[in-house]
Amino acid sequence: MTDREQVFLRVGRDGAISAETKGVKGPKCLDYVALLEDLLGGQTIDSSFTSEYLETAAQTFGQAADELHN
Amino acid sequence: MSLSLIIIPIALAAVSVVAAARAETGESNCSSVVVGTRMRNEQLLCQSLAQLGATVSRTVDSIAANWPQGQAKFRKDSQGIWSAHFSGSFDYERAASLIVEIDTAYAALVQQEVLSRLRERAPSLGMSIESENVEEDLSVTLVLNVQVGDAA
Repeated sequence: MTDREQVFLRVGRDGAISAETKGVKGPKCLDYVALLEDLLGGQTIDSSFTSEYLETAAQTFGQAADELHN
Repeated sequence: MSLSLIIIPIALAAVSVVAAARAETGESNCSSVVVGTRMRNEQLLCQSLAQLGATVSRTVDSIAANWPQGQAKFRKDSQGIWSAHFSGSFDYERAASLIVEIDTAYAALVQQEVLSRLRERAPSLGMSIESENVEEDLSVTLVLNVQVGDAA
């Protein structure tokens, strides 16, 4: 596992762009929406969280629950 | 992975390549075929028309493209999207087919513009290009490294 943050991009011949962040933990990844729109000169028409975000969110929730019980 | 996005460049409207066509009759009673497009950028539209062999002329609010078989006059709507008004020997099928050809040339120019912008702006946004590859379908895939603390 690496801690570095990366963006995987595909710029299609039809002009459409798909992007995925990797190594970005939790809600911070939402900051990438505006950053990538600025970088690419475009507008987001669809977005979804992937398993890494959900895993991180679950870990955060688990930690918070542990703290409450202790 | 944490977030997945689909982004459309501002030069493209998020509509189909060929929007609904309609027949129009002008004051002179000559009918023409009107085909909507997803193109927004005037300069890229002119370049793509020239690539398809048109003689292109611009006025303040329109672009005229002339071929031996007829003319397409492009006008911008209130949302900044160009539509093509065909006259001459163009029927709907030929007009729609030509718009697909223009859109293909236009989209390739948009792709190059996006890549140029990306290469130019990435460093100032704290990003560097780790790899860049042209795929079989001519899409370009890139991996960007983000300097944590500088970006996002």
